[in-house]
Amino acid sequence: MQNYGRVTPRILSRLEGILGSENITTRPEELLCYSRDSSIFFHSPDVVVRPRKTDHVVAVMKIANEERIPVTPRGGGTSAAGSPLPVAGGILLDMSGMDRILQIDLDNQMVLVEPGIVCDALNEDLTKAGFFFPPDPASSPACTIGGMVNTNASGNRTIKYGPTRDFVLWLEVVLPTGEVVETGSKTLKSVSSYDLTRLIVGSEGSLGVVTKIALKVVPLPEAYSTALFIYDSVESLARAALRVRRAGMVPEMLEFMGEATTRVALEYAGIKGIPEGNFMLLDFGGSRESVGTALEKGVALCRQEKPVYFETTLDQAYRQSLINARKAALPALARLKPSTVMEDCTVPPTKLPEAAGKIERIPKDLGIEGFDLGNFGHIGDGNMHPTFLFDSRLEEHRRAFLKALDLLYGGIVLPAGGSVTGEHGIGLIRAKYVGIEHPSTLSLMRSLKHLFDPNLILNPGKGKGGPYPLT
Amino acid sequence: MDRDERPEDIVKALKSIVGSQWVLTEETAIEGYLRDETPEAIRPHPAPWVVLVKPSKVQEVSEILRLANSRKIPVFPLGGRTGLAGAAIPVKPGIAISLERMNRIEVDLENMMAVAEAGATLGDLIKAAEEGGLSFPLHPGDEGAQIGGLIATNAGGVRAVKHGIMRNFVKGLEVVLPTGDVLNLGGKLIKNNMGYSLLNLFIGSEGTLGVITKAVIKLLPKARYTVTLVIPFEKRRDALQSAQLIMRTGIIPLALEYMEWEEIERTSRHLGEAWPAKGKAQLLIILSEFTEEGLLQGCEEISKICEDNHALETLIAERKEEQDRILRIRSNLYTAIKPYVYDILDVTVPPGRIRDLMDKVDAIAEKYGTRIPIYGHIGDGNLHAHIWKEEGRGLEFANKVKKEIYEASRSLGGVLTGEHGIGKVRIQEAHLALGEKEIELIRAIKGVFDPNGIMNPGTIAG
Repeated sequence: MQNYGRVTPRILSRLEGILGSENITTRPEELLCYSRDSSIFFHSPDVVVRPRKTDHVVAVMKIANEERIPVTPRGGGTSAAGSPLPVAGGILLDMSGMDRILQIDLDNQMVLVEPGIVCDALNEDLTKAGFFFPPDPASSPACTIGGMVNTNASGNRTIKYGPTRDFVLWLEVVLPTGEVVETGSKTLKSVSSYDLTRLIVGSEGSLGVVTKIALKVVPLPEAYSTALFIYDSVESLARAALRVRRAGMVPEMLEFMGEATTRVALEYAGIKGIPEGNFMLLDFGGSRESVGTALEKGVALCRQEKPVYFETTLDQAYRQSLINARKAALPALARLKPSTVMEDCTVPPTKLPEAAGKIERIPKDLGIEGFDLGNFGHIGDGNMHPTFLFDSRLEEHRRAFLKALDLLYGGIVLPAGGSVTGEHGIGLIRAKYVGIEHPSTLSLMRSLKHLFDPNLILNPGKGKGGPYPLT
Repeated sequence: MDRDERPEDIVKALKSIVGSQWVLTEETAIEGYLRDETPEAIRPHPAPWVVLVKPSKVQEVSEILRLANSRKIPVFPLGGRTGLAGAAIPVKPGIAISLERMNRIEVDLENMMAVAEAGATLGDLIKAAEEGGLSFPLHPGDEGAQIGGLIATNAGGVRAVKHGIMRNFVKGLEVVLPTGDVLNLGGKLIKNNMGYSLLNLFIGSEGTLGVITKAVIKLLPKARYTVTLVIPFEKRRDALQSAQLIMRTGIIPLALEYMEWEEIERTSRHLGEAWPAKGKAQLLIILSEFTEEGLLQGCEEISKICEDNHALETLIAERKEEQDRILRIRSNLYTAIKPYVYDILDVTVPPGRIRDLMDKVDAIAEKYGTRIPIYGHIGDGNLHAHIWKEEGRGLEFANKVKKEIYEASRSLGGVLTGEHGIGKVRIQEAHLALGEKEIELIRAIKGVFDPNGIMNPGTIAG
């Protein structure tokens, strides 16, 4: 790792001079809150800074670049990969204070926002006007748009609408040198240069600090129709999902939870009367006339894989409670064991049934008492979140966890032509796999990182350009 | 390397890589490869000598690039030469690579993706998808366009409103860097969040970072129910108002086009075909749905909106031949007008500003005492404005008009090019529109991939 400068009292007073003392803190109990996200890692910053406007970010970056102090931007802190954790200490840039909606312009299908606005808060405003911003991660009540842009977040509705990258039109970005660039345009199409916008999207705060975002938004579907299926085996569930795709249907959501996850998630969400098994949610959106027909057809296809149970609903409140149950998968699993680690693998759609079955059998293959797994995810995109449940205080469990990762990636995902991350990004947790998955492009990625951030001060150890403390 | 003489040792080395029958140097044999569809008045002139090579596989492309890089010889990747911005024209002595022999397409039905080599044509891809019961909706006009070119320019076209432009369909790429290294980016995955998105850098890079040799392209199920609506209006204002209201309903058409009677008439005459409806300002809408109910509801809502806004009538074409004929006439608007114009512009504004843009273009036409025929993809705010060849008024006049249209677009928050790209004909204006730092970044990125600057010089980065 680099030799970084330290946050000295002199630097603290410079920061205070720019942002005001109310926007900077070094109190240990506050630093503690910023040392964690949804992953298992823990790294404390030396100081937390809360910018209120682009000029603040510019000033902070200039100081940091001069003094070679690491800067780690943070949104809602909901990352499952450790992306916003300051591995080298330094300045933590809490962007959640820049949370205004600057413009809602529906004639142009565009909204202009600051990065700290929470996803659900933005959608609450848009829904009133009949529009929405589709990417819908399970963390939507807490994650910020800035965080979603930086991780290229996905979620339940990606199967129909695509990931965050498909919705970002324009960005204002503060580079590590303190220079401000605007990338892209507020039009729906532009080919006026290399696509810097889509390079920044998904860069996990390692190329620049995003300070303003123009997003494309779309009209809300008029109506929804929903079906819930329970299957005996995860293989038949995956085959049913494949049938829906093969028939050319584009559902609003096609989600699943393995048997272990289903049990706790339904209980967590207070849904009763559903038999045990693997859970699949099939949801269609569109005009009132079309959703009924679509559901009928979708149900017929899924029944060919012989579910042990199914039900359909047009009731909006019940639909929402089913979605909430699916979104509760991780918190529900987290109640079972002291350690919960969620993975994010993706395989080509056709490899799903085989991969899902093999993943289910990982704990059995390992045969370690108390080491369990709950699987769930976006089955329609081939994206699953196998979640390991164990007790990291036990040496045996820690060893089993590392072995489980090798089985998952080395034995199942990569041989199937998959990726170790479909949506959560690299962060800390997957840093060592970048070179394995992309041996030929790593040096190019490093060159790009150096070009934006010559002193490697921005979110070190994460993103894609290294340096990687874990390798 | 601007030398007058063609280095014969290079020709020999190229022959040993691809076989002598695939290396062409005779002017008569390569003439057709040195131009594209850019209007003649502004089309860049090709260099005094160019060697044309036709590799058959990625290893050959790799060897060609390694040779060119070691000798610092410019390389120009060619597609179907249907571009409108001169991007593929070899403007310096060097090697032009035509990928026409690399034209295989495999359709993977299970994953609903095609693996297509760069030299396969759009027509081939559409056909292969349809044979598999799937579809590839994008239609930038000329079906002779090649996959590599479509990706290198991030092409758009008529059927891009519902499912997006080329970028939205490319899931994986095989590219050859100037060093000869072959990169595989992405794959048959619907989602992949690993690493900076190099894939997206190559899409739209107009052959300046490397040679695209193969792509994984997302296909769509064939929509079972498709209709084409032609809706004539007396007034432009009413047509645009209707389009705006349609986009607000949540019905997302496959295509939403605006055109005017003079261009329609000229093109119908040119093709010897008949357009179904008369009216000064017209909307062409393609709806494509999976259920009959969805389609009927869409048609009803659209006709109602248009009727309320003084449409003269709503014609619904259901038969495939009829829909194909309408699309053919639309695709040939440019072919028919090309001899009469200096330039076809490609300005794009936020979709709600399209009416303001057209008003400004009218005012410019009036100011210069000329006509500026327009049509375009108004569903995504993309307008093609044409600068008419006025007798006795040369390129200087055309440049003034062009500059004013660019200014009009930028003043409405728009860009110079929505789909045709910067190429070689808009590079000065593009650089004026970008920030200094952005240009610095673009040049630096170019330097990372192509340190010797051999890839398609004179395009995008300058």
